[in-house]
Amino acid sequence: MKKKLLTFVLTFVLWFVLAGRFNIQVFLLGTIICSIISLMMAENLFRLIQMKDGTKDFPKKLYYIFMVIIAFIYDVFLSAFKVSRHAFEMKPSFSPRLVSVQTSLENSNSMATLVHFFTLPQGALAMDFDDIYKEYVIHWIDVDSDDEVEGKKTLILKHENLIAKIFD
Amino acid sequence: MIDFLPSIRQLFAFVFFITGIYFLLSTAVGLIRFPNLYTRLHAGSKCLMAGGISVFMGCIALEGISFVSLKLIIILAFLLITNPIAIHVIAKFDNNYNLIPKVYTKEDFEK
Repeated sequence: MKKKLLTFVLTFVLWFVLAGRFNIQVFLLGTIICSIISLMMAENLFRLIQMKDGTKDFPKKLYYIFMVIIAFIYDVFLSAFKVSRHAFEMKPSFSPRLVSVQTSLENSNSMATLVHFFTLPQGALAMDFDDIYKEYVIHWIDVDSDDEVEGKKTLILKHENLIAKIFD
Repeated sequence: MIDFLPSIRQLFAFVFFITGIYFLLSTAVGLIRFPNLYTRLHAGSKCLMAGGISVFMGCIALEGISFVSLKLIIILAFLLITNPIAIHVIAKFDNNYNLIPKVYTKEDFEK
């Protein structure tokens, strides 16, 4: 019941923000749609969320969330610049490689956040995840040597520590 | 006294728009020119996201602090969440099921 109510409130607020006006028609339509969504999806929506400490350390974690978003946007632009340079080359030359990276993260939320970090920044693309060995299979667009692979893995570890502070 | 704030705001907005146009153009060019599916997905994820962020930031800078800006921030957040998921699903599907391309490229023949 608590989950359904929370889903209803969240979707209802989102509905009003996106609708942009307050009148009885918008209110009634929003109530019907949000009720259907909360009845159908409330169980699945919160299925994978694991809250270890509850909301106790949330203000402290806000700083880390802010840092993650800043790092994310900075890396997206850096990576996009590298890829866009290839697009305008006379003969686009790549040295792509499939690499598997092991993670030390335990929480499912942090793993999912780390996949976001693979897919957008760093010229990498997360292709698969092995649950047993906790390994990501990553497609890297520009890797010339093994030393470069190790260098990029350490770059990932930096983000991994930041994400671990939020969720673990 | 001349009010500089709207001019500075417009300057920021147009810088963001030009950056966004460059990245979105490189997305389109990359999707056509890149040799195989995975490299095309790279163009479709990173350049598209950088272009999207730039264009939305330009719109927010032009709009100022208002209700429309809040809407734009929410749409930007949805874009940040959904684009990597879609790209990851396509890559995972191709990796696990060996999709057959409709139009072959040179790299597909070599494979």
